[in-house]
Order: sequence, then C-alpha cells, then structure tokens
Amino acid sequence: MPDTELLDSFRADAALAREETRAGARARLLVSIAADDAPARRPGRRRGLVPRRQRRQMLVTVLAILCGLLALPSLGLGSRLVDLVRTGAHKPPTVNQELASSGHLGAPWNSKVIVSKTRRLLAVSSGHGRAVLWAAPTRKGGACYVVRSPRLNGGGCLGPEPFAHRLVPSLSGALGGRRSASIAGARWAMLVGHAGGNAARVELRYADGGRSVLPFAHGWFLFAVPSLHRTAGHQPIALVSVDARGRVLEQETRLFHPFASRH
Amino acid sequence: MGSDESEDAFDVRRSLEWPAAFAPIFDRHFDAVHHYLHRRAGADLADELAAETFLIAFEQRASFVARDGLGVRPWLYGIATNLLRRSWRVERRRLRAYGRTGVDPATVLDTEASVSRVDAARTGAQVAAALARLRAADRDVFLLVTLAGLSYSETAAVLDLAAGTVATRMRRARASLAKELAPTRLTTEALVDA
Repeated sequence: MPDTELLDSFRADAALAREETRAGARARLLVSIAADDAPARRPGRRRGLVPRRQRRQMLVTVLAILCGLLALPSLGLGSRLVDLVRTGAHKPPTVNQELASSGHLGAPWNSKVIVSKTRRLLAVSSGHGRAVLWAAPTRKGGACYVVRSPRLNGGGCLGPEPFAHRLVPSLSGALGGRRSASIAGARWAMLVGHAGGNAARVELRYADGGRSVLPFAHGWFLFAVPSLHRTAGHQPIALVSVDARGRVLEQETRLFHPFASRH
Repeated sequence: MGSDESEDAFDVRRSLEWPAAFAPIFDRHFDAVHHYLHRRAGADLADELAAETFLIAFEQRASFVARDGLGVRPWLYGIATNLLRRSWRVERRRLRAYGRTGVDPATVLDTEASVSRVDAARTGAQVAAALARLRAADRDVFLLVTLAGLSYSETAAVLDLAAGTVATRMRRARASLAKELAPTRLTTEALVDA
C-alpha cells in the first residue's frame, strides 16, 4: 500500500476550516496588509519564528531602554537628548549661549533669538579641521548664526529684510596684513552667509575661471576656501547666488576687493 | 488546489508594490493549509497556525520573490511546517494519545468529525502511534510529501535541505513506519519510492 493510501485513512475526516476561523484569519491578514505602507521585509527575517528566549531578551532590552529614557531628565540629560533629536547632533551649550547673547547686540531686529529653534545646518571640512554652522531665527523675522571651528568661533545676525531677500556673505580669515589684503596669501579663509529669495545654490567664482558650488542648506552656506584658491591668480573674485533655473540672482564682488570703491 | 501557480506568483510579486494583491493568495490556499495543519496537529492549533502562516507569508513575500522557481503552495506549506516545529511536543503528545487510546485528540473537538468509524479509527490510531515514534525532522519530510503532496525537490526547497537529505529522511520514515505497522496494514510495497 503506497504512503498516500496509508495516510488517506489518517485523520481523513478532519473538517475543513470553519467559516468564522477563515473570516478571522482573513481579517488578521487584511489588517496586516492595510498597515503595510513600507516596502516588504528583507529576506531572512522571520516574524514569529524568533526563539522564545531571544524574544524575551529583546523585550528586556526594550524595557531597559524605556526605563533609561524615563530616567534621563532626573540625570539632567533630558534636554541634551531633545537637542540631539531636534538638530540631529548634540549642540554645545555655548552655541545657545552665544546665540542668545547675540540677540542683545546691535540693531533692534536682533532682539530675542528663538534659541529653542537652533538648528545645526552645515558641517564642512577644511585643512584646519571641521567647521559647523548653527543658526536660529529671531522673533522679528531675522536670524542669528554661530560658526564653530578650530580657526573661527564667531557669528552674527541678519535683519528680516536682508535675511529674506539678499545675498549676505561674511568672509573671515587670516588675511594678509598688507594694504592690498585679500584672500590671496591668506593662511585660511572661510565664507559663511545666507542667500535670500529663490536661491537654489551659491557659487564662488575664481580668477582662473574655475568655480565652486558651496555647501548649501536652508539658504545658508559655509565654505572653507581651499589653499589653491588662496594664491594669486586663483583667488575668488565673485560670490553668486543662482536660482533653480540657473539664472544669476545676485553677485557679490566687493567682498574680495576690500579697497575697491563702491558702485 | 485549483489555482494557477503563475497566477499565484504574479499576485505575490504584485503585492510588493500593492499589498492588497496578496489577499487572493489567502483565498486560494487557506483551506488547504488549514487542512494540512489540522491533520497534523488538530483543529485548535490549525486555526492559529494557519492564520499565522499567511501573516508570515505576507511579511516574507519579498523572500519568496527572490527565490525564483519555488511555487506558492510549497512555500506556504513550508512556512506552516516551520511554525509547527514550535508545537512539535503537542503534535507528538496528541499522536501518542491517539495511538494509545484510539481517540484522536486532534479531531475530538470537532463534533462532526468525531463520528466514529471503528475500523478507520483503529487504523488511524496505529498510524498515529507510528508517526509519533518518528523523529520530528523525518515526520516533517514524510508528511509534507504524503499529506501536502509536495515533491522531493519542493520539500527540499521549503525546508532548506539537500535533495539527498529529503530522500534519506523519507526512506528512514518509511522503514520505521513499515516496522511499526507491519503486523497490520503496511506491506513492502510501501517501501518502494514513489
């Protein structure tokens, strides 16, 4: 007698699934289908087949993390964690302090920086280390920023009008001490600022015909001028903001010719 | 099964982009998977595990698509068999009880199915006792081939075994069953590979 015939008599009268069983299983599947708005799981993951001990370990780990999160405020770490979540990186306390104090300086539009909205916008590498740009809006519609780097620790504020509409760069660096001070010959030079309006990118154009597209986020840019372009004949001559169609919106040249007459 | 394998595979593939396309897979195969699980472990476990089989299948559909050449039906039986491994003690205990008492705890809950046919019950009890004595791994292979109707190559694919291992386990299971059932029903014909 073949196997199949032998097994024919084995629980052959097992009933088919009851209608309510089928309906219940179908409902469970449909809930799972409805909840699936993400791509299908990667091969190899088997829900429900994780060994019981492993599931228990996972549960303990999750509980430990939850307990840790609940305990953070009592350890004074809660606000730092919130910063981390909000900005994507830990914010040095001095950044908030500096931004808060910068709001009390200068023109009235600087008043009251909304420190809680401080964001880490850009981080760039230079020959002298990493530079990070932080910025926060002011209640009057402007913005204040801080740059942290091994060479430059400073910042500034922009009023509502230039912040919204104009290309506002700031150049810092160890420029030559001679009367013809320029980037050419500088030991380091860093450009930071905001391009208002519809700027999609900011470019730095050089005397040798080359150009660099600057790191750009939320209208802000931060750029360490490379050593090649701190030499005569290769130095920057213009900073240009460009819209999404490639049209030049604004061009700033005086920054690179500090003693040229204004037009 | 009454379903077209290529249609099944198409639905699974399509469900990667449109999850609702998986629902027809359930409609076409749920009864068969449930029946297989019921015959192995009883109605109560079958209710739970059949539902879970389709949840897991839905979640792992990407892995099915990646395993070109495997049919949907063997794939589902493979998931169901893997789930049964969590309950292999229950399955063995029920088989033993069936073999010892002649009353099948796997179907006794089902009043319609409990209508007794004495001869069949006796044979069923002997088969149950013999199945209970098989190694769990051998029982999986034997019942996938005999109850679910999978080929050796399909069984090898869904259990992630070499084809030779499936053949070896089948041979061992048949030898064991022949030994257990020899005085009653099974003849040497059953030892000939299908």
